[in-house]
Amino acid sequence: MIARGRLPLGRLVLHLTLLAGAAAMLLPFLFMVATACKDEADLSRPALLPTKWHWENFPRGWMYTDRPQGGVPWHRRGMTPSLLVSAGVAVATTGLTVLLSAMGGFALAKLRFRGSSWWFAAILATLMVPGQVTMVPNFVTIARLGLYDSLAALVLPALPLAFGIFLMRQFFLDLPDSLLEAARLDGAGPWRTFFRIALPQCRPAMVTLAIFTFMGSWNSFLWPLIVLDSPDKFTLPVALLRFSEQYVTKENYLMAVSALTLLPIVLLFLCFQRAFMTGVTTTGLKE
Amino acid sequence: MNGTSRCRNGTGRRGSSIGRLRPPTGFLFLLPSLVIVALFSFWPLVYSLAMSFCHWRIVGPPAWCGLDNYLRAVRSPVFWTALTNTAVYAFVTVPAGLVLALGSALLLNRRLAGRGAYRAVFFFPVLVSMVVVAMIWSWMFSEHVGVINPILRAFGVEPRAWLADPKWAFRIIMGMSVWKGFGYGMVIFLAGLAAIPRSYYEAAEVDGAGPWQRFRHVTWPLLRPTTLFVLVTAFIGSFQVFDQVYVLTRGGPGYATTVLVSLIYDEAYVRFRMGYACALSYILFGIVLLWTLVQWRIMRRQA
Repeated sequence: MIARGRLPLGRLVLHLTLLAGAAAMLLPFLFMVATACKDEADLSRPALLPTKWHWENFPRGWMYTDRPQGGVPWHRRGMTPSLLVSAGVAVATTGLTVLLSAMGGFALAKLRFRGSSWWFAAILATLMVPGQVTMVPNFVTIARLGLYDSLAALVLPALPLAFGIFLMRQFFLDLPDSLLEAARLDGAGPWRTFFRIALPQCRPAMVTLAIFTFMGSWNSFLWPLIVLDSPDKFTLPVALLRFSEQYVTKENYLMAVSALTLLPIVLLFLCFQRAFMTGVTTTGLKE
Repeated sequence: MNGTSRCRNGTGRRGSSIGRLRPPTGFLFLLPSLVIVALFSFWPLVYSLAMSFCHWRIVGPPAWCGLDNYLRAVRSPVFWTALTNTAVYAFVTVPAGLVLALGSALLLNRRLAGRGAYRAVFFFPVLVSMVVVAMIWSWMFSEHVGVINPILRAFGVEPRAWLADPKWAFRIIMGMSVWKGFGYGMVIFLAGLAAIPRSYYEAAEVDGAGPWQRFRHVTWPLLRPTTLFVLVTAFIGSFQVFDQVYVLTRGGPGYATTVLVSLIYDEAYVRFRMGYACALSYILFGIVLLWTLVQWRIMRRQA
């Protein structure tokens, strides 16, 4: 067996090590919250914690701007437009990825056609290509399609289809043929079989793919930085960067906004912690 | 879908049940994905390669220039700085991350109070956007309002502008990246460890193997595929490092923290030298491919 901790001393050292590690992981985030709650005077003081906790900095930071705001509708104020853009783009990216990957993976696993294994190899090979290689041409393609500075530009080139198709194909391969055969004998066509029989069987794979696609989209930075121009279309990471550039001295507000953009991911993680952990191991996906 | 159904041979070799029925349907299922992959992956690969042999500043037509872009890269000191920095980044952060990932996985693989909480805490920064993490670290290390200087002053270290220091800026970027990313490897190692049968350890213990010998002769060899996977993906990712550099230092001070992708970004979207940027990206592609192959070879030989 792996060390059962025969010595209480060993146990103690182990726990102290882990506690120190956990503190090292969490302290930066706690500093973030503490700084977010500081006022101007506290910011310039070398103290870790604020003398008074200004929780109102969170809504204030979110809404902060030094530009005229007169007559602007609510969804145009503060970080809210960026939140909506990020959420919309992440949802669209996730939905499209899961649907198209499931269809493609199903085709490659169960509806093989002439050249299908060749197509599979070709799609899989794109996983090896660093995103920077396709970045410049995609920028040009997006511009030619008239999609520069549009939300479609954030979604279409950023769909992780090669990965998704690979993942879904693996799951569909394990689906017994007899199940599909039975559906066929009942008179169901391939589309019906796919949506009614095959898809519901693959819910775990779809949840995994959905979580990781959502996260990747929510956190993506370089591509939105390149194809976006107007501030009201900035995704949260890009908006955050611009915020930090425009309001250099407003560290408290910057940390407040940073903390708020973390919130959706934290909630997602708390809800789907198991799926996240098993997802990493079954998919081996990184950003 | 159409009349050509029931042709048994038209459907690929291992013909599965539905496939036998309607040959073109499979293609229709794949078609939307194919269109998108073709437009945003296949085509740009070709286009980028072609442009890497051209002078092209986005306005106006590209002009063929042969190997000029590649030669310019090889002759440019900034390119070599970026390449060196990228290599240093990869060969420092990947092994460091691997050791931390394996170490924490070994510690958290046993029955232990709060095990789930520890795992979640170590994994958490993996989920957070690099921009947010970089914002936090940028503030922590800032000269006047940060948290690092006051802490270090207690130990007699003079305060300084860490991220403006050519030596420290890159170390901080690397440290932050390891801190943020090792939880990912940890989770993969935990799965690898869970797959090792307990009976192996029991047998080793009966043979009188100590903890180190059990690790050396049972855990490490059986984890080899996991290790290879973690290494390969980590290296591929590390060659493409960009976000944290852009947010923390923009490649500065000077070129102290410039990496390949930040150079590509600058050339393409600041100086609009698209052809040169494409050539740089193909050099990056070549490095990634080559190094991945080397790793496969090494690991296979050892196995």
